[in-house]
Amino acid sequence: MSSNKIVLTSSDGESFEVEEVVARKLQIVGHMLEDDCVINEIPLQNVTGDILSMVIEYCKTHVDEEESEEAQTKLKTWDEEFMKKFDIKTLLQIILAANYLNVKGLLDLVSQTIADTIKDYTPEQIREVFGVENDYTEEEEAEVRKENAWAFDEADTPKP
Amino acid sequence: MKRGREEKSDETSPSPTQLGHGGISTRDINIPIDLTVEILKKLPAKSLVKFQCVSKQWSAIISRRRDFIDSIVTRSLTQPPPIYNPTTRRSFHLPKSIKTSSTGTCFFGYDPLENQYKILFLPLYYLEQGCQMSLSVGWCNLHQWDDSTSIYMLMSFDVRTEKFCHVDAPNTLMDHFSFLINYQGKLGFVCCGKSVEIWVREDGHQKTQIWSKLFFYEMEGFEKWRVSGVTRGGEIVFVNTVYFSDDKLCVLYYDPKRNSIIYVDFEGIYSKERRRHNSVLIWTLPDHVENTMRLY
Repeated sequence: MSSNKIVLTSSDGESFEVEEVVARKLQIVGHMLEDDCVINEIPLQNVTGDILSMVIEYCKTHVDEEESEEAQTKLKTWDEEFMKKFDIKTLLQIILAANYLNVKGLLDLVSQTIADTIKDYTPEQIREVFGVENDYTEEEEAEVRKENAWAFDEADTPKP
Repeated sequence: MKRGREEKSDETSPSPTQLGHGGISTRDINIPIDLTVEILKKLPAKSLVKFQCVSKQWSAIISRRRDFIDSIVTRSLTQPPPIYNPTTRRSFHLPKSIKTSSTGTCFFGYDPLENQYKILFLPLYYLEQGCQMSLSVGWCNLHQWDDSTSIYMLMSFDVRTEKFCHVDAPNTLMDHFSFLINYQGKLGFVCCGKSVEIWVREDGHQKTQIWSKLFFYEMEGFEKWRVSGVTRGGEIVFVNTVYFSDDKLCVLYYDPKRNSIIYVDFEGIYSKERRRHNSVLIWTLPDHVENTMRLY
């Protein structure tokens, strides 16, 4: 593979010099490189430096995905450890970045991590985190809650 | 947002502190709806049911959006089949097997002598792959049928010895759409066609077993009814097949001893909001018993 270096610049002016193979993991960059081969500095308007650095860390680790079961297991463990570092706010910023930069693997990973994080949240916590406006009237909400009461029951969450 | 970072290297290792949910403001983060849907697709079903309370939009995605529901169904179908204990509300996924991923029927049986629960899986198309398992053991091949000619026959399965046996049956059972029932410990069947017939297999002379017709009624319109079982009191339960949730669920209890029929209509099983849109198939289980056995 080419050892050509590409400079990625975040919305807050932070620059990251990475190998072209790593940069190509960001499909948005891949498309730009196909259009014009001589680019070596790419501005990324919708992602801040701190989030971009995490996306790059992911792409570097996943740059050559081996087929072997051992390599896959190792990567999976790395993914889990990597995701453990982030709070819900950072996870939401990463999913936005993964979507904008078009990094499929990271998008899957981070959406699963967010799902695992929020699965036991209350509807109130969900509204707060996702900025969702509650458009139910008090009566409507009470009815929906009543119908789905079993899902609010914590006692039946399976435990090992 | 300008941050006072000095490092320009791509070797940065971010270490945001792990915070509890409480103090984090996510107000400046706006997750578009298609990304929200991607996250929802990864949630367990129970959380999805709960999150219908978040907003009408979330409820619409979870309970009505076609591509979303398709993805949940597809996700669920790739899982090995679960068994569920309604008493303890625990479920247990059966061990994966190529055979159980094919279409077939599962039977759940109990051997009181060995105190063992067993699951029998009969593949629909490849009978030579018949297999069974004991809960803690895993699947094992059980019986192979040599020829695959399509004939109907009545077979019994002994849960303890794990052997199949041929059972004689009247032609009515073989020729018409029928439901097997457990009628007060005896084998029976109900045939709902242009008439309704109820048969039971009883002890005859010299340890033989004979089939006798308990009930016969020439009546049209019973094709829509399914027999879901027998109550412990001996009433045979007929359920009108419901396809849309705005239909009532009609249940009919027939008591052969008293020759009496009781109709019961169940209304309001679904909320007003869902009633208009959903098609449903309701399974009724009249012989539910509680059991606190641990599944795993």
